[in-house]
Amino acid sequence: MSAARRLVAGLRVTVVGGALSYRALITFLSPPLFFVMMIASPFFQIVTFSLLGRYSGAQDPDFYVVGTAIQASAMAGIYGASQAVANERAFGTLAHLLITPAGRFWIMLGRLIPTSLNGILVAVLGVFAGWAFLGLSLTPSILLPIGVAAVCASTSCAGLGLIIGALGLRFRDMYFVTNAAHLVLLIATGAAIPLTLLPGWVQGMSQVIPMAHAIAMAQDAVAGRPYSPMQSAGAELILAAVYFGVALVVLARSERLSRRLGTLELV
Amino acid sequence: MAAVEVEDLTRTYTTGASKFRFRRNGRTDRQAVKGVSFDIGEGELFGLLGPNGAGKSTTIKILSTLLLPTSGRATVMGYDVVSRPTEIRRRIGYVAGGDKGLYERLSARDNLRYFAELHGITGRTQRLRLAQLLETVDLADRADDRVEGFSRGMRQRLHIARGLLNEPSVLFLDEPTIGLDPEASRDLRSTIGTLTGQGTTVLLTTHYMYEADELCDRIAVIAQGRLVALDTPGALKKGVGDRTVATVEVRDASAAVLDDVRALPGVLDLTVTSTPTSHVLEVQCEDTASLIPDLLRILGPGLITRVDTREPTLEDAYVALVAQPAATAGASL
Repeated sequence: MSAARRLVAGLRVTVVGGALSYRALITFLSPPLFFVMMIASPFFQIVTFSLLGRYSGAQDPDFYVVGTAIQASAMAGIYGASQAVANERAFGTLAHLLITPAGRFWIMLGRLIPTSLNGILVAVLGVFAGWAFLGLSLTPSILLPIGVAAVCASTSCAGLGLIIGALGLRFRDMYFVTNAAHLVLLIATGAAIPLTLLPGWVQGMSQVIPMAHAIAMAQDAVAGRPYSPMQSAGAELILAAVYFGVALVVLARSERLSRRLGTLELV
Repeated sequence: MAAVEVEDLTRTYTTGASKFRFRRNGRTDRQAVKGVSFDIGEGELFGLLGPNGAGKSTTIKILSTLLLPTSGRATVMGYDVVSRPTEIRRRIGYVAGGDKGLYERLSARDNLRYFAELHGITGRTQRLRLAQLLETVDLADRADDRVEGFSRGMRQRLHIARGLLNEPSVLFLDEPTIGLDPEASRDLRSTIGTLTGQGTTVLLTTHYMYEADELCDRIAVIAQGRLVALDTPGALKKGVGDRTVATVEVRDASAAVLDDVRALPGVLDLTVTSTPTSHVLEVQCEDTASLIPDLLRILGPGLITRVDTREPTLEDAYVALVAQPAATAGASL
């Protein structure tokens, strides 16, 4: 098969397969569950941190609204991949999936894109909720940087999610890792706590974990501070590329390890 | 070229026995497959029989690239299972028994559509093949219903359709009729029977001896991870041709009485099937004529409600084979 045909086949697996698997595996497709998981939960997280911030006086509430909205959006990518693999295990379909010759990267990408798009929707809803309930001053000039930040953060988080999902082929209890990643990213990206208040090593860490660059850009835009979209978005996308590269290696190694250890069918 | 070649295959599982997971000690190795060798010709329907835990499913999982062997070698359509898994995956189908393995929230058609995409089957070819397979497995009228409302038989038929999506050269069927009602099992056997007529090589595992007897060209019997016999169903039955089977139904039989029956000279094997009101003893022996008076004496004539004798079946051959100590059974090959 030529490279072009392989690419087209891979994209079909991502787009068509991704849409089908999203319907098959994602649990929040019913309206009540969607409301709870995708709107209410992120909204209350945004409100909680904004009110805490207002109470502490450390930062303007806009800082928290924008930071936690983007953080909530990007986490969808991380949860999406690990949830997809865990659900495949629960349905007993993981083995059937891996017996097909389809590229694992394309399969996983198909799982990530719909959940990342969900995440971006959450960010948009979160920002509008901040405007409606928390007094976020929404001007047209800040919508673009917030949008760019949400897309970049979702992309880099999808890369991290892909690594966690790939590890899920080998280890069945990946929810612990996902939850830990959630908390680490909440703290160390500056989404809910200004980075200047954190120890130096955490500030250093924020340079190499997803989201921090994108969140900083959005927070600067909202605060009216100067920011460099090329530098911030570029750094976030470079990180995304690195995470996707690592994910490819982990994916191949995890699958081989799971074949060696016989862990594919563990639930 | 053989469709499947297996040479001195072994597979060891390492399991953690410790309650405290950080501890590495307490891990145990369990050898599920121990030096198994066989080959399957193209278009052959090959049965793999054995008790639970004998290594049948492990062997199928190695051949279908889900597991790596610990040692030995296996090829499918000439490709090595360790180094060329993607080539093998293009050429095989895998059907497992049971309720799981399907996307419950998707329709039967969308389940097939998804796996067709994963096999690179698209466009008009996909539409035609899905329609044809849904017709073949008699699900055309329920094609757009969600799988969560399907009966076990319908799910199993959908499993079969998925296994055939890529028109596989080799189809692995791991207990495909488990839990199906007799009519559904018969339909499935009929479908399986037609596959080899179309040139598909089939490796079937089953616990149902009549199924293996009816379908398989050759049968391998595995016990405790070792291959203990490999031949045609007819030849396997002839292997116990020096035996006959006496079936005795009694109203009551204590463990001590059963031990006495086992100890009788000429008794080769005894299986007991109990119901609330009776026990059916199947006694494999060399000569029923000389055994029956002893059986009547031990079991008590007043308690016996039926006595029959018959020629051995594949099940008798199987029972005789798996009952042998695995270490010595290799000699029967």
